[in-house]
Amino acid sequence: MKGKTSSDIPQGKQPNGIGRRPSTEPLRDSAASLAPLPGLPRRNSLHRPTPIPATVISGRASINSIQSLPSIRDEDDMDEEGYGNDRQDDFAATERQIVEQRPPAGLRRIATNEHKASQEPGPDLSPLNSLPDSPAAEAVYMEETLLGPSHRGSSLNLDSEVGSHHSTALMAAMGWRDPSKSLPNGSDDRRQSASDAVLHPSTSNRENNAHRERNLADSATDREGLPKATSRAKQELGPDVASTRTTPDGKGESLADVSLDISPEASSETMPNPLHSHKSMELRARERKMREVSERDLRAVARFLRSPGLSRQVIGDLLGENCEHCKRLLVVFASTFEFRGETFEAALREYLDAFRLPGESQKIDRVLEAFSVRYWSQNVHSTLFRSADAVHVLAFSVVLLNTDLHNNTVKKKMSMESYVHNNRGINDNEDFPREFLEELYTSISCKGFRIPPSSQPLQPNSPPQRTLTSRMSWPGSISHKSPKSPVAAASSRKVKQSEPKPPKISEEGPSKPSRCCWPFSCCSSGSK
Amino acid sequence: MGLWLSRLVGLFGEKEARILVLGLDNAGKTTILYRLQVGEVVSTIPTIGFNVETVTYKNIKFQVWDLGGQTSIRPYWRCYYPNTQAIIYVVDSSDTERISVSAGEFHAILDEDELKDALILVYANKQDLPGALDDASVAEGLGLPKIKSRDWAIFKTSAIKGEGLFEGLDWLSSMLKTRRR
Repeated sequence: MKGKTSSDIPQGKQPNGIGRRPSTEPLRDSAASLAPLPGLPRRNSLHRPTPIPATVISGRASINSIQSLPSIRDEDDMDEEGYGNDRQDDFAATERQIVEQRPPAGLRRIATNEHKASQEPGPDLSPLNSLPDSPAAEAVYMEETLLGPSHRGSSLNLDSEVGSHHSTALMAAMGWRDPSKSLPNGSDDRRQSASDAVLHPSTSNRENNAHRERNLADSATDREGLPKATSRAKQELGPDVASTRTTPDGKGESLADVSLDISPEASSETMPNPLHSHKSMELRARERKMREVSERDLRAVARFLRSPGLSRQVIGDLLGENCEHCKRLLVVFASTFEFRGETFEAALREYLDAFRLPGESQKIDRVLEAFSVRYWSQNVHSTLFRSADAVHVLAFSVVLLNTDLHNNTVKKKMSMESYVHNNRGINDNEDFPREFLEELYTSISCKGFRIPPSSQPLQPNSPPQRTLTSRMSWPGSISHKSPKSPVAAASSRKVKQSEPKPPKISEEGPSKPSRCCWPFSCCSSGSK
Repeated sequence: MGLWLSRLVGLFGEKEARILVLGLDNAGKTTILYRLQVGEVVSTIPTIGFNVETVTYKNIKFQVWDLGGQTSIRPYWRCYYPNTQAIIYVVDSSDTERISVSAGEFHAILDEDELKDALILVYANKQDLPGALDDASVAEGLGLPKIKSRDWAIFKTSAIKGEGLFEGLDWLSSMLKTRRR
């Protein structure tokens, strides 16, 4: 992933001359690499982008094309939906209003995508940091624009993810700053709704749009007119136009490039001189790239890991790893859950159902710590918990209790009394209510945490990932290649014979797409 | 006759000891756990939770818990400290940089009241890797020679190759047997 993005980025940077003219080379390159479909109109990819989208979407019209904007818009833009100049004037006014606080083009494209379902234009006085942050939406947007309407709904999750990776590179190339760092909790809803759209590949994009619209409506109060206006514009524009919008023309001076306004006077007043800001902005953009690409990649990966059909075992192993990226991924992964208002137990069950909790204590600790931080951040006003640490320790105790009660290796089970006794003072040196702990104990003893239904391995010929030993697979399966001792091999063979046969989806041959596995894993889950 | 014999063995022979396997991340605890567990597979239903295995060796049943050693939730351990007969502390001998970190963890564990009677078995693991410290260096790094009030032993092991592990269990079982008498 990183390799991909890092190779994409220089593409966008290299051909930029001194002037403001968006370079054509990177446009063509990325258009070709992202959209190899023969039917995709290439007109705008091969030439300097016509200002059509620029006027409305992200305002990237350069100075030398501003004068000709209206006529071009009349030719290309208006014929489809019949929007007249009054609409354009709305956009122009809108953009003039925010011209002092203009977000980079990449950011606004995201806004465009998230709001494209909205129909009514509105005034925009929004501060920058309230603009939505949604790489997932960007991915959908890329899918739409690059594959065209006829391909909507036909792609897999992976397609969206690929789009997201591309868009990640694109965004980075545009020097886009991650607004989530300045966003408090408010952005979560939007991100979630957008990722919902990605995670339901079977629905058509139109449905996704409606879905997103419903979700977005809830949090529309902090969203503004510009996105709406631009989103409407996005609807009006054909995919060919949009594809030019998404191609990286490069570079750090994207801010300069993002001129955006139809009105010449506004543009000339506020646009920085690209000649002297070019170098420093390029450097800054490069720094940002190094930082943010991986951040966005992690988010894309985290969303991907929430999609159905993946091996929960592998997800658990990945999340439990002790490398820097895995730890960051774990945090991002936990942030994809919505625990607001949920009870502790329900939240923990939901969390542990999304992957196979590794059996190693440090991994369990890290995974539960990420859970506790997330749960606490969304239930700060809980009267039950005093801190995230309390959530963490209680979650740890629950996993320990689950091991104790349901692992056949443990002969002497923990009693309810000793569980309550062991948990004294873990809520920041105070006790949890006895009834709460007793209820928890009863619930865990009646219904322990189950192994999430693991889908089949993605590679048809890969060996089974888990033998039914008492806890988990032979540790050498991942970390080393040591051969099993004969006794262990024999014993695991013995166990395997007695286990119920899993659905043999993965053995049906390489021609069977691996994604066909997922309905089975969902059917067999029954846990949700 | 057979039944009578097995009852006799059960009466005098097989005991169960609870053992915690502790150590830093990546020391090799899980590998050791499953290397020890080469006997019959007890459970057929995998359970969400910690790695726990039962190892029967020389008539002693070791119930081995892989409990790591992370500081954040150590307060919670106390429920698993009582009745713990021994600790297997695993050190990555090739990770010379973290040997002091490991020593800090080790002494924090030793300071726990509930573990004051537990035997200390140290595995200087990963001896197969180049540059690994030998057992004397690891003992020095952990400050083992200064421990006078506890029974301890250190063994060079390679969990991947399965070397040295059962020598440690030999020591454990002999110590446990002498204690019971």
